[in-house]
Amino acid sequence: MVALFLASLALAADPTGFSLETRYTNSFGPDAWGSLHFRADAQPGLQVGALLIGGNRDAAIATTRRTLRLTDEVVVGFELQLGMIRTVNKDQPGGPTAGFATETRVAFDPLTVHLEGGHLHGIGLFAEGGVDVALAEAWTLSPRLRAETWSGDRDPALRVQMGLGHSWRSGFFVSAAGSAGGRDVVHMGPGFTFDIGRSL
Amino acid sequence: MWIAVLSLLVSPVVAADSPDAGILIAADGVQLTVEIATDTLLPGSIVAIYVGDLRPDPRTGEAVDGLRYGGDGRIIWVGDGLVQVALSYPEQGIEPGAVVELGAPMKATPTPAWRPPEPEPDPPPDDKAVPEPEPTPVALNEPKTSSGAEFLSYFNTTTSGDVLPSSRAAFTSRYGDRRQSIRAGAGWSDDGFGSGAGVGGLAWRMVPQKGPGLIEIGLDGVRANRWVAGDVKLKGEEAGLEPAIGYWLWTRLDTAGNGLAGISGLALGVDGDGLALGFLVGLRSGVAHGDRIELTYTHRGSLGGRLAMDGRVRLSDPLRIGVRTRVGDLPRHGDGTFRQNRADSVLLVSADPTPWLTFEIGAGLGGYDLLFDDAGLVLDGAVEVRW
Repeated sequence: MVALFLASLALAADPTGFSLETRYTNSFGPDAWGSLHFRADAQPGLQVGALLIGGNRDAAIATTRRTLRLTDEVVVGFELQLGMIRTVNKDQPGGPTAGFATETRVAFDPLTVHLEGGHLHGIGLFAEGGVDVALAEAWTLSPRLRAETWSGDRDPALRVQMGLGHSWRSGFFVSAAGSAGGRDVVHMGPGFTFDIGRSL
Repeated sequence: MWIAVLSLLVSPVVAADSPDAGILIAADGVQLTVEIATDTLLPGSIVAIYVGDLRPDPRTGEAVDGLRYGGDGRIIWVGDGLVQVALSYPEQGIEPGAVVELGAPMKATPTPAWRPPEPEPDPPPDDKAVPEPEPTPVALNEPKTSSGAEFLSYFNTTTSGDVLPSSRAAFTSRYGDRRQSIRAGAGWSDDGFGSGAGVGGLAWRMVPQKGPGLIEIGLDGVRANRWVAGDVKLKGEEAGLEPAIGYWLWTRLDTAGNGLAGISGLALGVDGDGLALGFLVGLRSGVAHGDRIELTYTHRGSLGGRLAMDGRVRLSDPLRIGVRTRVGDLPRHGDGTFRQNRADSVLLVSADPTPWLTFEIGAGLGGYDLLFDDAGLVLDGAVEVRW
């Protein structure tokens, strides 16, 4: 279904904004998971997407996101996630799942404060904060601090991340980030994100 | 019959280069020019009167000179330098000072006179040029002026600053004045192991010019056949197929918002428990027949409820694709103490080949777990005919 969705968008007659987010997190413990999240812009600020998660929890989720510009400086967004998660064992049963994510961006030239939080994929809670620093006209440095719980009632994991992004006037952008963190100094490991897309 | 009488004072003038005699006519003291053979000016003769007139050029729209047929008239008196003509039609638009020409009678209705359009009134003065009055101090206990419209304006504007068209304007640009339609749909949601639920329905829809954004009344029939706890061994567990059925008359009412619209509805039906009630609530962002996301919760008596998220992206003007995901529960069983949850997700394609026809098909997977053993094919489709 996801492949058909992507193929259909690739054949779109009208230019369509999109983004593809790739994430992998490994804490050298039970928390090791990756995700592939594709979003297509129905219009600027309105996105429809599909999310695949694999690792110690597997899930297939559809997402919709609405972003509002409250002022020239403040943008807020809300994403709803509905789908199915796979059963691991009797303690971690699967079935329909629902999650959400919120996002707030406040622009203070040349910094943009970035705050996120929510019920990640219906599996765990997460909160992330950081800034986007405009290094030059098309380059952005993005330090982040992220806390999340994963796979139920585990202790929260803390992760430090640094990213670098580049955008073109045509609207295309690419960004990559590396991270390190975990639940403690024993159960910690690397992670990365890689995003590409085009803004309308 | 009303008869207008035009008094013409005629004084003979010879036009040297014309085969006809030229006559200079004056009416009521105002001179008119008539070119006609003098031997036709006999009392009792019927003559056609052609009037010099202005008409808009059909190509450029500019006013140009020409001759208009002003109707026939009867010469009632000819004197020395004087001609009196009785006009056969009232209000022929022949005024003193006009240039007229007489000819053979036409016995036809006069061509109405054309008058240049009234000049448009001057535009109102620019409000911005008027200095704004000094703001009045607001008392602390005065109610706030913010309203729901101000809140909705956030949703009516994209993040790139563009204002979305109204839902009615978006509808009209796609379908014109075809505001009513009949929608027929059917589908099957398989849960694996041969269990699942089928639905078929027929609905009347209308997009009014004022008021609600959508009115819909429909009739659905649902037939479910689920694996539930029972007396049959399946994978080591007691299981059995339990049917559930229901017929529903339902309504739906959408507000007319484009950035944010409310969805509501009521349903009345008959299911395994007898008479049952249902309802629908939801929100939509975007236009109903274009780019949008729609979130609805539907409850249908003992058949359970489901949360549905439907997002559509416009690929080209008549073609949209999207994803619809539903999560919900099944009819209670096991003495009403047990209820299973299920989810399905389909890829949707909807298109408008012509303004009067819309079709929609969806295909995907659904079931109780993210396992192929616990999943089945979900297929549905609908056709909407609009007039």
